Amino acid sequence: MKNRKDHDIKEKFRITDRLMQIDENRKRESISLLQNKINEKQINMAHHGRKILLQQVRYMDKLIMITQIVLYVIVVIIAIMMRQKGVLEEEIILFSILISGLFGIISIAQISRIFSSGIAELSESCYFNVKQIVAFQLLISGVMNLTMLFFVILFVGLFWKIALLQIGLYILVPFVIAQCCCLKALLLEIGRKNSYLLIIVGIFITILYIVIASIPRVYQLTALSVWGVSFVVGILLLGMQVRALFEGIERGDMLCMN
Amino acid sequence: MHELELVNVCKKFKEKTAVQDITIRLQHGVYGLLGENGAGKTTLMRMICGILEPTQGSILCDGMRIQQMGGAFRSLLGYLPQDFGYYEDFSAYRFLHYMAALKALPEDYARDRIDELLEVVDLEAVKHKKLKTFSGGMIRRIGIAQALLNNPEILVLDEPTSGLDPKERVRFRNIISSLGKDRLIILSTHIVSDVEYIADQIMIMKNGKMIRTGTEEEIAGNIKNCVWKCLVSEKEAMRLNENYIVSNLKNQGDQVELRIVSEEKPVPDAEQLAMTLEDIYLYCIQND
Repeated sequence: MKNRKDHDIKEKFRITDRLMQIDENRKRESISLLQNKINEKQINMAHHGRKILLQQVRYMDKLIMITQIVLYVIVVIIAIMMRQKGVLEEEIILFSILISGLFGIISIAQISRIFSSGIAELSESCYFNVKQIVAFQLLISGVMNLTMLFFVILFVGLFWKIALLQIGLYILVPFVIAQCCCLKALLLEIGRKNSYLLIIVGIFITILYIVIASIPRVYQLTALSVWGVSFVVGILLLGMQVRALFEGIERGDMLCMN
Repeated sequence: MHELELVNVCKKFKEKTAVQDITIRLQHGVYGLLGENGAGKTTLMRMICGILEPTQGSILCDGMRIQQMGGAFRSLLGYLPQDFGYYEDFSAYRFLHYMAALKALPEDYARDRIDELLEVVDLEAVKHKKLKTFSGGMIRRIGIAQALLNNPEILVLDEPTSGLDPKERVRFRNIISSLGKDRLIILSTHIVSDVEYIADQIMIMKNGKMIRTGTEEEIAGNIKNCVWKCLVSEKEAMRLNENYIVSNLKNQGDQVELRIVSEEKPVPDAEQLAMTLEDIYLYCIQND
C-alpha cells in the first residue's frame, strides 16, 4: 500500500518534471558560480592554514631557536677567524665535531621545553596536537641545523682541502649521535620533567667528543669505514627513537606530568 | 550540540587500574564529577579529551570514535588540566595568542576573543606581564580563558576553581552556568559547592568506578531523611565520629555540634536537617 502511494507520488513528479523547461545557459552559469565559490573557499582555507602556521611561528616559544641563531653567528665568526689564523686541520675538525654535537643537543632541547614546561598535556587537546607541534619544530630545527652544517662542511672542505665526504662524516656522525643520546634522555620520565638531564647528557657528549677528536687514528682514511657505519647505525637509531617518541606521544603517557 | 558516549572504558597503568569499566552517555548541560584523590577523575578527563588512550573500550562523539575524528573532535574541545603547564616567560597575551594558533583560530577572531576573555577573567590590566609573575589564582583564570578561546561545544575542566578566592569562584560558577545551556560541560572538583549550584547531573567516582550518576535527587534516592544535627560532649563527639559519617564538626564552648549522615538517628535528641550534595557525596563514598 505504502509502496503504491510512493510510486504514485514519484510518477506525478516525473510528469511535471517533463513539463519544466530547463534553461541550459542558466544551468551552466549556476554550476560555474558554485564551482567558483567552492574554489574560493578552498583558497581561503589554504591561505587560512598558511596564516595559522605563521601565527604559530610568531607566537611559539623561540628561546632555543634564538639561541641556535646566535650560535650560528658565533660559529661563522669563529670559523672565519680560524681560517684567517690558518689553524691546523685537526683543530678545525675538532671545532666542527664540537659544534655539530652542540647543534644536535639544541635541536632536541627545542622540543624538550614542550614537556618540561608542562604544556604538552594542554597542547594535546588543541587542533594542532603535540605530535604535529613536535614534528613541526623538529622539521624547522632540522632544516636550520642541516643547512648550517652543510655550510660548515663546504667551508672546511674547501679551505682546508679535506674531501667533502670525509668532513661530512666527521660532522654528521656527532650530530646524529648527540641527537640519539638527547632523545633517549627525553624518552625517560625524569628527562621530560626537567631539563637538567639533557644538560648533563650534553656535557657528557661534549667531553666524549673532545676525547675522541684528540685521537689521531680516528682521522685516518682507514677509519672512514667506521665513521660510515657509525653514521648508518646512528640514523637507524635516531629513526627508532623518533618513532618511539611519537608512539609515546600518541599513547599519552609522555604528555602528563603526574 | 554533541553527545559523548563512553563504552566500557578502562585505563590500566602497569599494575594499577585507574578507571574501571565506565559506560556513560553525556549530552548537553553541566556534569559535575566528584571523587576523592586517586578516584580516577583526572584519568577519565584525559581520556575524554583524547590525551590518554583507553586500555579498553571506546569513547564516541556523536557515534564516531574520537581517535578517528582527530582534529575535528579537538576543534570542539576546550580543556583545562588540573596541572596547567605554560611557558613562564610568555605574557598572558602571548600565551593566549599561542593557544589560539594551536586551536587554529584566525588571528582577527583570536584577537577579539582574547580581549573579550581577558575582561571576563579580569586580567586585562596585566595581559602584558609574564606568567611567572602571576599568582596561582591568576594562572587558573588564564587557564579558564584559554579553554574558552575556541568557544568550545565540549568543555572539560579539571579542578578549575583550585586557587580561586570565593569571589572568583562565584564569578567562575556564573560563567559556567551561562555556558552550560547549549553545550556539554564536564567539571571535576573536590569542592562540592562548585557543582552544587550549577551541575545538572552529578557523577561520583570511587576507586576508578562510577558509583553514582544522575541528578542530585536521583542520587539522593532514598537517603533524603538521613542528615542529623546534634549537640554533644567532646567525648561523645569522638565516639560518634568513629561510628558515623560526620560531614561537619563545630566546637561550641564545651560542646560540639555535629552534622551526621546516617539512616538511623545517631542520638535521641538529634534534629533532622535538609540534605545537601556534600552529605549525599559523603554517604555514597562511604557506603559504596
